Formats: sequence, structure tokens, C-alpha cells
Amino acid sequence: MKSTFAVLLISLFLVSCGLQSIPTANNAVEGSWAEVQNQYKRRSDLIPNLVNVVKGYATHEKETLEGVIAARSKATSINVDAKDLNPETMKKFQAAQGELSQALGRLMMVSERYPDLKANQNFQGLQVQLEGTENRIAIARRRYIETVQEFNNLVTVFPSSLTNSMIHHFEKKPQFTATEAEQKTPEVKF
Amino acid sequence: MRYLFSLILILSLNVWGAEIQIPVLNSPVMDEAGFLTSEQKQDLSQLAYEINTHQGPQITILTVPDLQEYAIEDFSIRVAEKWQLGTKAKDNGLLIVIAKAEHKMRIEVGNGIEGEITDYESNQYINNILTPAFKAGDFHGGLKAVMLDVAQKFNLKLSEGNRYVRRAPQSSSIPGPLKVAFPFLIGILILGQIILGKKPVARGIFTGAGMAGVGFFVGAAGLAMIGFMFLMGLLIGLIGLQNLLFALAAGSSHRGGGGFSGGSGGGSWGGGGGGFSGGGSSGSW
Repeated sequence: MKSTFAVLLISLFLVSCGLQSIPTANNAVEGSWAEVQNQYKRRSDLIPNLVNVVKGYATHEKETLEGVIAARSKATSINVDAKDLNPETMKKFQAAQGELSQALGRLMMVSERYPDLKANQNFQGLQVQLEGTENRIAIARRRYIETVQEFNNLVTVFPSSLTNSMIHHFEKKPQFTATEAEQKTPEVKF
Repeated sequence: MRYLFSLILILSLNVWGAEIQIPVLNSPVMDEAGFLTSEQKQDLSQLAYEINTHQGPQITILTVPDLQEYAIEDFSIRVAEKWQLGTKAKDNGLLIVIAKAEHKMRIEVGNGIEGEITDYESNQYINNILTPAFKAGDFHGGLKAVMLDVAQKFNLKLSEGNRYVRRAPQSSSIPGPLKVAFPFLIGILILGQIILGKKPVARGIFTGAGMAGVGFFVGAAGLAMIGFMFLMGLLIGLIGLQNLLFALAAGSSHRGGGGFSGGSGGGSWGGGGGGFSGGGSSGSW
């Protein structure tokens, strides 16, 4: 009777201890981070074409265009490996991509003033692709946030936190801090 | 321990935010908002089944009364994540969401077919086909045109028009499958007599079983000839047979296919683990 109880207790501990689930969650975070970077890169890849098309029509927007190009080269220079994820690298990455988002927003805004540009099929195509990429970025970010939440719970909440401090020694992973414009979450209904 | 569980529960609730209501997937056309008549629904369902069995994408349409305060992109990706349309290997799901209250729509494209159906192309579908059709109130026509065009992009050889049973063929008085099965059964019976000629016991059993089979078919045929029963039996039989063929042809691409539900014309329709990462396009009408 006693031994059965002991076996039950041990197996319960093994299931909830995080010996396996912590590394699994870590892999999930690394995977979702790779996807975040991948989608941001996809956006960067679109920009040269976009700038070229806009250049042909919007002749008075040199400053805005240069702003986009500068923001792009800065953003592409900051790559964070999943293993180097910490609050500081995350902040840098987010700041650079945020600047690029703003520069792109300005570019799309001024392009509204050029009817010929808006009618250009190439430009329309790029605009659709840019929208699609922004959507992909939002989804990749949400998935990253979810996997990090799970990982952080494992490494900070008892009992798996105990396993982490004894065996795995993982740090908490940094989260995205949503800007106000990005918070599109609906009201919480219970 | 109980407190820990509640704590985790509360934490996870915070992560997911409001609980989104997503219907259980059981048909290629989930018309929750009631845009389509049952005939139109069946028409689109059959087309979706046919495209899927020809190794095309798993197209599913969802219409909802409203988006529960979500943005359409947010709503549709959550539906896609829950339903997991397409196969795990090919990620070839395609979801079309239409929201009645917001007058919004979105085409959500699976990971694996973003090359065939680019964002630009789904945008073209929305601007050139769906928006004008929806404005005119023709939801069925718009959706069908898009589905047929998708099929063309995948070079699928679909049957002419719609290859599904609308009404029974008038000329024949014996249902098609029976017509084929009956002579076949008789043939086996005669063949059996010849082969088992020198084994009286085996022949006896064989003949008995064979006669029972023939009797069954004659009985079934007789029964089927009784007016309404005949029509219904034929319809259900053909739909069932078609579903079975689809299921066999589809192999692992969608689960089951065993559940014959005569009325809606659909077997089972479930996701196969396909992934989505946000490809597609949105619009409004």
C-alpha cells in the first residue's frame, strides 16, 4: 500500500516536474522566434521594390523615402539569435522594427497624395503584399507571446521551477511589449 | 495543489483573452449566418469535396452573424488554428470567412499554398469576384466562381459542371448499383457451381449463401421500386457511394468519410493538421 502510494507520488512528480516540458517549451519559443524574424525579414525584402515604385511618382518625397531606406538598413542589421534573447536584445530589436514600421507608415501616407501612383498596378500589388506581411508579423508575434508565456510559467511556477533551478538553469524569456496602437485585443467577457 | 491549478487557469485565461465562439467543423460550408439556401450549400459542399479529392486544397467557407468584436484577420486566423484545414504534410487549407454584421470577408490561405494563391491573388478574388457578387446578393455565385478558379490554379480536372446527384435518372426502374450488382452476383453463383461441382457440402453452402444474396438484391430492388422509397433510397445510395469513393480517393487527406448523412450530402469534413501563418487578404462589401 505504501509503495503504491510512493510510486504514484513519484510518477505524479515526474509528470509535473518539467524535466521534459521545460526543454520542449524552450524549443517552442525558439521556433516561434525564428518565425517572427522570418516575417520581419519578409517585410524588409519588400521595401526596395516599394521604394523604387514610389520614387518614380512621388518626386517630392525624398526625405520620407530616405527615412524608409535608413530605417530598413538599421532594422536588417539587428538579428537576434534565439539563444541570445534577453530583455536588452529584445528591446533593441523591437525599437529598430518599430522605427521601420513608422517610416513605412509615413511612406504609405504620403503616397495617398499621388493618384497616378495609387493607380499603378505594381504599387497596388506591393501594397497588398505589405498588408499581408504586417498580418503575418502580428500572428508570428502573438504565437511568440503565447509560447513565451507558457515557457515562463514553467520556469517560474512551482513545481517545475524547482527542476529548472536544479537542472536546466533557463532564464525567463523576454516578451514583446505591445505599443498602444498594436493593442487590438477585444474586451474581456466572462 | 488546487490553488495552483486555479492560478494556472487564471493565468491561461489572461493569455487567451475573451473566449471566442467557433462552431464545430462538420461541413465544407458552415453557413452560420444563413446566406445560402440548402441547395446552394450542397452545391458548394460537393464542389469542395471534389476539389479536395482531386488533391486540391481543402476549401471551407464560414459565414458568421458577427465577429464577436474581433478584427476579421484575428478572427479568421483563430478559426484556422482551431480547424487546422488541410493536411499536416501539405498545409493546403483555404478558409473563406464572411461576417454578416460587419460586411467583411477574408480569404485565409494555408502555409503550403501561399505560392499558388498569393496575397495579391486572394486580393484579386475579393475585389474582382466576391465584392461585386456580394453587393448583388449573390453569395453562392461569388463563392463558386472563386472555388472554380482555385481549382484551375491547381490544374484540377473537375467533372463538367457539378458532378453530384440532383435528381434520380428517370429512365431506369432499377437503381444503378443494383443493375450492375445483380448480373455480377448471378455470374459468381454459376461460376461457383462449376468450380465446386465435386464438393457437395461446399457447394451447398455456397449456393445457399448465393441465393440469399440474390434474394436480398431482388427484395431490395422490389422495395426500391415503391415510389418515394425508391427515390430516397437511390439518392442516399448514390450519395453514400460517392462519399465512399471520395473517402477512398482522398485517403488520409481527411478523416473518415464513413458517416453517410444523406440530407446534407456530406460525409465527415475535418481538418488534417494544416498550418496557417496569415497569408491571404481581407475586404468588405
